[in-house]
Amino acid sequence: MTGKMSRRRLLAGTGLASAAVLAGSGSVLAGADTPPQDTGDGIIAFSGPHQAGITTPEQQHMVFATYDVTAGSTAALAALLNGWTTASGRMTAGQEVQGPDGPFAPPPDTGEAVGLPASQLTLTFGFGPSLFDDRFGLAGRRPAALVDLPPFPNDALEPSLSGGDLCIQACANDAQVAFHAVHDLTRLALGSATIRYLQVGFGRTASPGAGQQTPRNLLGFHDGTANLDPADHDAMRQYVWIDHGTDQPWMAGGTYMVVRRIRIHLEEWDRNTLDSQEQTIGRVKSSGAPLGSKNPADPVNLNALGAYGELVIPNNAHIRVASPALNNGQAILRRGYSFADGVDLQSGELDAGLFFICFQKDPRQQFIPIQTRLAGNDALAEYLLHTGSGVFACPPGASADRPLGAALL
Amino acid sequence: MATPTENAAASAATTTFRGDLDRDASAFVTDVDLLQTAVDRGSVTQARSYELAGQADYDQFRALESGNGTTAATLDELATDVGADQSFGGLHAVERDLWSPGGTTVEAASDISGLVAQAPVAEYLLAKEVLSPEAIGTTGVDELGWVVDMSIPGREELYSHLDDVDTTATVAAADEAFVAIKPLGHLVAPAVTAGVGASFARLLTAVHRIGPPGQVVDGDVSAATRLALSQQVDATAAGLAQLAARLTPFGTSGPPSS
Repeated sequence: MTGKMSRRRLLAGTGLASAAVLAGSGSVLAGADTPPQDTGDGIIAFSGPHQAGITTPEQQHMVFATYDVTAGSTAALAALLNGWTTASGRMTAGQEVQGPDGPFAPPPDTGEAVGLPASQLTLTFGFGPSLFDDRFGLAGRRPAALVDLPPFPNDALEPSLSGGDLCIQACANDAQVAFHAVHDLTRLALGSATIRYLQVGFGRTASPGAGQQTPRNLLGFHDGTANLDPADHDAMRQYVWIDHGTDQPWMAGGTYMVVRRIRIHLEEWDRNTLDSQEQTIGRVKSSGAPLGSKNPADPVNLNALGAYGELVIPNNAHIRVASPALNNGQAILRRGYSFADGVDLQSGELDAGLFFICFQKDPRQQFIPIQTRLAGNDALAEYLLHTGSGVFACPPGASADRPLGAALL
Repeated sequence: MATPTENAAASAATTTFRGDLDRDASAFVTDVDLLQTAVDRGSVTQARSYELAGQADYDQFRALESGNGTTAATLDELATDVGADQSFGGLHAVERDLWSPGGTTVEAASDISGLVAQAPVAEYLLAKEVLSPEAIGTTGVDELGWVVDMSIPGREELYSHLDDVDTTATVAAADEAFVAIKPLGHLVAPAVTAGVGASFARLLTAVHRIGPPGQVVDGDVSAATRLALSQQVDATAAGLAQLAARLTPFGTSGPPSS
């Protein structure tokens, strides 16, 4: 539920509010292994042991952006991240970046979120492999798991939609609140980093969090039924959060994010028969149940055979190929959003699809082998075109005395 | 309370910029006269050269002059500034005459009269501009905004396709504004001023890399170059806006409108 506290009211309260949000004191500080949660007023604290926006129940809107750092020194990069930390603490608390600075100065906050509730805004930051070159002396701090993704079959990656030194994932239950956050953070980056690409997403294509009805993706199918449950702390520790035994201690408490902009050839999909669609996915379209089962939550029986001895869930069905059982037990926490970016002027078809986002402990053990298997065997792959890609190291949660990247820089 | 040193620097900023405007306006009048002479002689080559020079001169004070409804229309009008069936005047009409296929000075001769008549008027009006340090900085910000909107995308010189002339001249004009307020900036906001200075240095280098003004056709400037240039202009303008705001204790362009 969206909170009722407006930005204006919060701003009129006290300047101490922002300090409390960032310091992570009192009720806004989550437990040692618990990411920030909505405290009931529509605010999800920015600070915490882990960054928000990873196991946070998925909001309805997303704005994702990546940046190329142009800052000429490590100190300038640190200053950018400090500024982002402070601004993020305020914006996630429903406050303006900064109060007015007089009629003759550009407003420190762009203003489009004034009067809007905090709307469960979360801001999640990541560092791309390219940040760890020789510009900032970080080559030796690059985690082994932060690998450049290998090329996958059917990739059609566009450089302008891939990579980036830094990334921001802004999620909120108000599209304007999410955009405002990226808008202001981009402005704060002027002179230190340039925006590389920006992707707007909508809906909930996966369903982390108990109590949310599994939403449908643009294929018309329930998506996320078999996703990891972010409320399952054991699963999060096993698959998502990096522990202290990592090769780079600054990543303890963090995770790795992989993003893929996946265009779906919807026109081609839409003219498929219902039976063909269900065979491709491996689920009943209306209910979401695995083929051969009645309920969406029924376990997927990959060995079930039909009347003629054929596999009920075909060999190349999406849920079979993606199943942890066939991926050495590996799983990822998916948190993607649909997108619609207008019309492909070459084909006249919709440029729409899934902005896939997932989190994991180690892409080498999780996303890469899973995607390798999917790209080569998944019946759904023929409807998909991967046009953008990125992998980012998401450090642990920040706070006023531990700004973003402090342990790295 | 401003110190005597700061007040002196503020006064010097106004005086310096005042001198810059005088010089730029005078150069414009001179180049327009030379343009007319070249047109009268029938020399397309010379006329093109002086048209480009006049355009660059005009870019130096565009941000201040373009708000004048009388002179702006006769000095630097674009086809997109008028209705579909209306003619436009100024430098761009002459540019069209000189650069269109088969262009000669015959057409230019009829389009140049308004330009020649209004150039001294613009010079006279500009001589009345006395700007506070804040207004000087804001003028530079406006100039940089125009560069991103018009000249870098190649939307200004629709016939010669030599928008690099405008980019170079207008960035120089913004830098001129910054140079005028820089001593005061160093006194009241040294960190911001140093940042803007560094940003301008990078911007001027990026502009220089495009090539000699007037010799690089828009189509030869890569998309990557335009992107990098736009980003650097935006970064510089943001810093300059912050600096201008810090100079309001020394006067503003007027009271706040609300």
